[in-house]
Amino acid sequence: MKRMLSLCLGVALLLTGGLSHADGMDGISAASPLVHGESVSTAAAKVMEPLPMEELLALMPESRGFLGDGNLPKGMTFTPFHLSADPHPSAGLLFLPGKKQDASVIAFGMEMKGEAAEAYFHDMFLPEGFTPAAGQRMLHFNIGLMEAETMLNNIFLQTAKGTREATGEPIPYDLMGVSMMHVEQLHKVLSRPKTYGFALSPYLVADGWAVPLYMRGFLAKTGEGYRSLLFLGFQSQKDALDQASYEILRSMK
Amino acid sequence: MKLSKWMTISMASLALAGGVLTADADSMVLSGGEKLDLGEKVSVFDGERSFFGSQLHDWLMEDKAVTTVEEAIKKENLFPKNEAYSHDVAQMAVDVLRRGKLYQVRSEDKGICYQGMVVSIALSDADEMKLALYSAALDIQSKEAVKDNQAEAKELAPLLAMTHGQLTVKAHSDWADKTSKKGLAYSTGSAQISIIRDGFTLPVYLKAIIHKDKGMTTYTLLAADQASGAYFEPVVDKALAGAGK
Repeated sequence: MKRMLSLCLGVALLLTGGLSHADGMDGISAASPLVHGESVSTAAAKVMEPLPMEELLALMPESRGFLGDGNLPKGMTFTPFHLSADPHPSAGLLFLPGKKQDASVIAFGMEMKGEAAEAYFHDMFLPEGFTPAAGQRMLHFNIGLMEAETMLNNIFLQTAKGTREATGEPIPYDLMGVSMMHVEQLHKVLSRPKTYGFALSPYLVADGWAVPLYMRGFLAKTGEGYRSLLFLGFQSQKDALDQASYEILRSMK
Repeated sequence: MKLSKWMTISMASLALAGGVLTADADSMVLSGGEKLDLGEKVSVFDGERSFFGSQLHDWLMEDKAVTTVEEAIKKENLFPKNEAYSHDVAQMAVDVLRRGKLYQVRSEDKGICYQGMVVSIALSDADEMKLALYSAALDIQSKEAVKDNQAEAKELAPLLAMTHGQLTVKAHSDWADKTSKKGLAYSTGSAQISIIRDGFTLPVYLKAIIHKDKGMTTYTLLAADQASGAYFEPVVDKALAGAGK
């Protein structure tokens, strides 16, 4: 359950942790232009505020998974990971039957509602667009996406270095690495109002073995609150994953 | 060396290992020495090139590998009535693994990366006969153990349950006997199946290739997700059509 909570919080953090002015967004400009010679990281550090974990945790009591509610489009089946006895599991394996090929992808879906959720997400879904504060959070998120490769590779490198020092084993420094083949920044989904989406194609290499992954995520306002969706599969499953994720989006009211 | 330099080297290695930035003609040599040219769009990663793979390979080449495997078999008491089998099985397993190949095939097409795993082992006719003998012994002894000891039967239950996972077949080809342009006779077949365990459905693509020559049979299996399988199937079929030794 803690892992599920962390995953949920991670998505919420990503979606609420920063600021952006992405293409395709309507709204009030929030980000100031970079000062000459200033890096994106430095600029981001200036606008990043400490993440309000308490507020995010406060969302949890009224949050619940919804993919297992039996409202999935025809043919899809969601099997929750057996990590807890949660009656509304948020993470599991989503089976996607296809005409020529079937696929199974990891899926995460959580509905957040209540005062805390409103306080957090309301300003992203205003009729006139979004507020500067919401824009800042989204820019922060997008900067995070762009810097994910560097950040992850640093973590992998430091882990390899630490392991070498701790164990004396000469494990290679490039034991793990990732290359972001494609980053689709957080943006409004044109075909669906009140929905933001993003996508990533991380090419993970572990001890020389390649794991080409594809991830697509959404944050949508629904009648009952806000829904966060995340799908993860192999890159070869991209078409099936994209199609299924949009079908699930369309099935939500 | 500074960490930043290691970072640069690591990233360069990553790009090369990943094959994202390069496309080169690659071939795959199966356990029995059969060579498959997979063309320019597919790269092949040999498991022996990985850090842990190379360590495993080095270990297998040592004499003590057989002793270690034999001790493990004895510890598990797999052949209580025929202890000599333990040494024979260990020797055979190490020999097969020494000849064995593990590859990853990869390709990038229209911005999408596909990958699949290939495992290839070669068994001599003598190995196959021994294997049948040991399997029969293992089966009889397991059944007797279950009959004799109910407590043990309870412990075995989860293991037996593992083999009873549900399988569904979405599509499959006919098993075909073919001969390559270079005269290599082989049999091949493929299937799209789903493995269902504990409610989880895992769709996979499997392609098997069997080649028999001079008292040695090479068994090769390509496993991938179904989309990657559909991508690699014509590539592997073309490579098989031109395969030789």
